[in-house]
Amino acid sequence: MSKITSQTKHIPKDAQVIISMLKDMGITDYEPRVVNQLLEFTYRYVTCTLDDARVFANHAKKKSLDLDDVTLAVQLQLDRRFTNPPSRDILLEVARAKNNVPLPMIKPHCGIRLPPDRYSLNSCNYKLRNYKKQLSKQNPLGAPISLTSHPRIQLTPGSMISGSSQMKVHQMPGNTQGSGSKSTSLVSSSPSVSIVNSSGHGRTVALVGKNPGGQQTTHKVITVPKPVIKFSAGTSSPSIVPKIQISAGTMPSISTAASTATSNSAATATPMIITSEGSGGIKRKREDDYDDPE
Amino acid sequence: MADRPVNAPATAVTNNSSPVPASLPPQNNSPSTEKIVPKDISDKSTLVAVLQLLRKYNLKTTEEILRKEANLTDVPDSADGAQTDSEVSSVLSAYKSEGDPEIYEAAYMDLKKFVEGALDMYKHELGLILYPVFVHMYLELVYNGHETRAIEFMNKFGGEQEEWYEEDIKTLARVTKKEHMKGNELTDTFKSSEFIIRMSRDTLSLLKRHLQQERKHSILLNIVQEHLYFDMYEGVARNRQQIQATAGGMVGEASRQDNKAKVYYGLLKEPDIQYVPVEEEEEGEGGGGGEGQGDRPKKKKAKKDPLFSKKAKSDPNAPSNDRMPLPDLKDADKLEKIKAMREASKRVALGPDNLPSICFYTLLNTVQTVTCAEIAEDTSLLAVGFSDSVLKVWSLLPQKLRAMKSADQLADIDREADDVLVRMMDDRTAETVRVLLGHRGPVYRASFSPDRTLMLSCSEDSSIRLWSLQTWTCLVSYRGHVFPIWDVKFSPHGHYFASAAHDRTARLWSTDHHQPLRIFAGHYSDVDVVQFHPNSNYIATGSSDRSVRLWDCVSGNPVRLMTGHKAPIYSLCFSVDGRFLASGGADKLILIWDLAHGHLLARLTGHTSTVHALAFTRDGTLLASGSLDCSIKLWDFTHLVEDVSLEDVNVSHNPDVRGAASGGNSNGDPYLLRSYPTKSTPIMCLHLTRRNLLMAVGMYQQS
Repeated sequence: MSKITSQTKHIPKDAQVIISMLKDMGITDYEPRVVNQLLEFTYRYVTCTLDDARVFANHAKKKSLDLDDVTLAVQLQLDRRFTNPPSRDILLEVARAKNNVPLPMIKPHCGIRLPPDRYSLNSCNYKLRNYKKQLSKQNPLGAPISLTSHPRIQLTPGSMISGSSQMKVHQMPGNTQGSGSKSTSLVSSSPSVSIVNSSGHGRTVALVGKNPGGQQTTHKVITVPKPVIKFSAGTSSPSIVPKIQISAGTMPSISTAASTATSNSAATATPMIITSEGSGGIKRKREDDYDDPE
Repeated sequence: MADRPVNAPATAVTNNSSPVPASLPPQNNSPSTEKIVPKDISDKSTLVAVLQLLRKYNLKTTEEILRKEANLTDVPDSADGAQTDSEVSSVLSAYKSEGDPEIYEAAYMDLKKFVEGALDMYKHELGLILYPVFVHMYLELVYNGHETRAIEFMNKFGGEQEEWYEEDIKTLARVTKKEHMKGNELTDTFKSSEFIIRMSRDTLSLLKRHLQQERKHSILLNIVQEHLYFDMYEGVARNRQQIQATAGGMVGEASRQDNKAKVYYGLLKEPDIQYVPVEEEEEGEGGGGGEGQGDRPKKKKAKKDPLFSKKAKSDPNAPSNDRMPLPDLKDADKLEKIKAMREASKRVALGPDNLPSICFYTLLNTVQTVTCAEIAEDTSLLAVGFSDSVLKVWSLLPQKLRAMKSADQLADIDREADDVLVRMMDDRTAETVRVLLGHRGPVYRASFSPDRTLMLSCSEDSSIRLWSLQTWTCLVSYRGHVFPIWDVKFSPHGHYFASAAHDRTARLWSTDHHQPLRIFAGHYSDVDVVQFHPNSNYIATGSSDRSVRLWDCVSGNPVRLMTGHKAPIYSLCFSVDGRFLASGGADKLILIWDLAHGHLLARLTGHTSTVHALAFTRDGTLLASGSLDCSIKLWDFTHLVEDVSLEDVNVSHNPDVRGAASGGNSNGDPYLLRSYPTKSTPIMCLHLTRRNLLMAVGMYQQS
């Protein structure tokens, strides 16, 4: 037996502790990587706790760490990271309150029954900026390139019509610059626009899109095969900051889901946030102009 | 039942003949008489809690007396940091005891001796108190800081308890200090809830007499009074087999109170649908509701036989159609129903001599990433959930999966055409598999809507997602649970769905509300599986506290509590007529329950690993079960139902449990018809097609 142990690699003491803990808990069947993972977790947890404890000790102007500091650090971590489900009596109370409300009647003659738009994921979740003001001032090249006037671009944000089986298509107004409301312009002055290349060809502002009749998040594929027009801003006017800013998630409650979903692979059906950097001060001024907060 | 934790302090106060400070008597009885002076803070907090309780119940004079006697005049009226009800009750039922730690062992040994010395007839039932007494004694020792004693006590008596309590005992063994008890769910459960033991009248009187005699073990008396609840029934004491059949619940068995409510387990009346072949087959759905009158008086009535008159055939056990609001049938649904009935008429009649054929789908190269599999009701779609949050849907028919046309294309199609639902779909987008992305954690269950236009999936990221199977996108993300959700199921009538999560609740939702409609709270541990009754009025949940509960969707109340499993429950299936419930769990057993009173009818043994899949054949004659031991077993359900006597007995009846134990068959379980092993492919899902072909899904394990 000792021969075998001398032949095997020397397992560090901490790992041995973990192995004996697993044995104590009655866990016998585990992959060897589990020990490493638990070691990493232990190390990270202890380090974080001691770090916090040091912060508390410093705050209390103590020379060195104290047991109280560590206890406090552990307690605070516990409340945040390792939460338990609510206790049974709280659950019973909440359940009693909730179950007193009678079941709501079901609306007849509906299509798909979904929660209000605020809580569903089926609204249009991006917005295109309005630069009509700037462009009308300096317009050496004539009409600004409006996205919608480009033959390859289809912009049809569908609006959600819950309950009706009709399919309405709501065309974006203002395809030409004279419309007055929202015309979309793609302007860039500095090469700091980050355009996400997801369909692989040319310069594509890719928002994977489909337009069902009224039930879906509308994402669009806007391909701009030509390079973007650069406006050389004159010295007088503030430089025009490139702005393709698509805000994701009009619903606050779903926004976290949408924003974290953006970290998914490009193949996802969720839109991507494309923000651009520009000259800082001017950018701030720009943001004051916007009607709606982002 | 829901009131029990709140009532505990009240009963502790009123049951004892001595005045209010019920948690203090040990000090009076113990040989070392001490004056009750709140010396240390913990004592004082107990008294303060008692004061608050008195204030709550408006017992002013008693409060004054207590204040004076315990010298608590310095305590302000409105206590600082008003303790919540739960804290009060937990303080009161805290194991505050000045008793000598030595006597616990002696008391337990005495109790054991008494139980073993009793008559055989009563011995087994009396033995039921050993485990709860052991647990509470241990917790008392830990609470009062006698750590070494507690460990000794655990080592000495822990191994003697029944095997199904092993997991709980192991959890308790890790609690050795008072601080450990604070966040521990299991100790909280034991502290605040009473352990229920069912005893016959004779056994109970025997026990009471013994406890009265043994005055010296006052701690035993206290424990029994405070933490145990005896549900008495008339009749003969149960024998060992009956007791073992229903033992296993975390806090004991079900009391009579739990199973008192009436359950409408019949099927809903089917609406009258005009269709050409009038077959008797649809009646074969079981003893459920008679064939319905038309819901729409405009249609011609009684085009079918005059046999189906409402009064004669209405099932007293069926809920009325408007007991719970259910969605109306649309035209498409009616066509679907007609199609289903036509298929049902062509289905194979199964029985012990005619076993179903099995079509098995094996998932290869999945390497432990598949977490769930589900087949749609008409067997056209297969959904598989993965641990990397992906959800894939395959078509099981030759037709591929199409997406809906875009909006402008949809504007062009002719809406009056008969096949508008087909024209809606874009043929160019046909694919065999669709990938649905959106979850942020492993997908633990998928569920198709009855009309197969929607699908739900639940995940470890505590959200339930509703997917459209026409546009193949996510429509809604339902957030309410904050812990992993283990199960989600669509109601058989659509519109409602239920979820089961780690937070010990199951919830009822409807697709058009972003918050749940009902919260079913009552389990003591995670709810692992949820299932709708065929009439959509009830929901069954199986949990890690080893109990199965039936809840009423309309009121949210628990109506049945069924214990008997010895390990967490992982699958539930209602019989076709709605009267019986089959449950399978990690204890390798399948238990059959009668929902009329919540009795256990049969235990089916035979599997050698957790049972994850259960399905009844469409005519209700056979039960198929699939398990992690890579085999499918078929059980003769009609035979079982015939064997069991189903007279209208009352709740306290203790039926004989059928199964291998009673059959005493050396061949194994008497109801097992056939066992089909696979090559190292554990079964994840079982499904019966409309024509009684058995489909199964499993993933191939290479090692």
